Amino acid sequence: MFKPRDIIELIADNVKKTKNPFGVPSVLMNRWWKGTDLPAEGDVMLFTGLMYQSVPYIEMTTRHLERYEDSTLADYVKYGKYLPKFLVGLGLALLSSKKEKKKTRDMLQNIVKVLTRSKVDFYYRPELDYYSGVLLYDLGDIDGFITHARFVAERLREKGVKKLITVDPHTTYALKVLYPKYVGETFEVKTYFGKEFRQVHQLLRRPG
Amino acid sequence: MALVDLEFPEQLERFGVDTTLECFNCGTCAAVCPLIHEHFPRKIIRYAQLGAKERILQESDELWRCLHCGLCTYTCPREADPGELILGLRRYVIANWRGTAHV
Repeated sequence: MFKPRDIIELIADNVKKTKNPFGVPSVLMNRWWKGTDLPAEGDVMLFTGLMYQSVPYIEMTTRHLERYEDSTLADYVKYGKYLPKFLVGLGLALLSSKKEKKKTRDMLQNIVKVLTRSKVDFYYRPELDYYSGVLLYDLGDIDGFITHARFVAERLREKGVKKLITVDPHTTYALKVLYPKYVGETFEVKTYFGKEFRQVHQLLRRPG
Repeated sequence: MALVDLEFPEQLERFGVDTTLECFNCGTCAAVCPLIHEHFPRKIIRYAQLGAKERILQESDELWRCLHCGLCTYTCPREADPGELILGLRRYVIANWRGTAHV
């Protein structure tokens, strides 16, 4: 078994320095919107929290961790945080599966199609789409979570963002429950599949 | 032998846990836990109640086995919220690693 401490400190260091758990630069990670024609202004901002974009990295990292779990290499995880983040991030970005990346890109683009077809007045600003920090909370690094959440909430507030559409339960929970509780910042958060968006809800319920 | 600190449940409040003493160790949580691992989480909750801090730190790896499925919290007859207690103990252990637990 890997030592939880090594993994937690590595993830915490990645979030601190690169704002996501993998140490991958956001410009490499968040590319699904390229080639789409998404408005930069509107009523409510689409906020993916980079969770779908993380899936190829999660799969690849998990595969490698499993491979080395019972070997002596497991002891070297703790030194991971001393490696230059850009190199690690670039390596992960190159090693992760293109097929998986395409799959998650398609998922997000399909969500956009559903929202558009349902005439939801939304916009997207990739530079404001941050990871929520929820993994730090789940792992018990409450100080790391609060620091990161404060950073994200401040960026959103600075740009006047008040309403968000989320696409996954982890980011939704973080923004809806944890941010008000730990950072004192409240946003109007709705999931795209929630009943609040009646048209989306009806469209998703329709067979086929 | 383990040293106990009966004020530990109170100290845990700083880490977001205020139900430590609600548990009466019936073992429902260990019975439903999908990990089926050495009386988890019942044993570590008992350590918390007694304030066996050294034991908690020695066996802290156990805390990160938990997947937060919520079954223990859902079934706990005392509403002691074992899931949240595990999360609070993680915070306590991390604060110890980083030397901030006493602040």
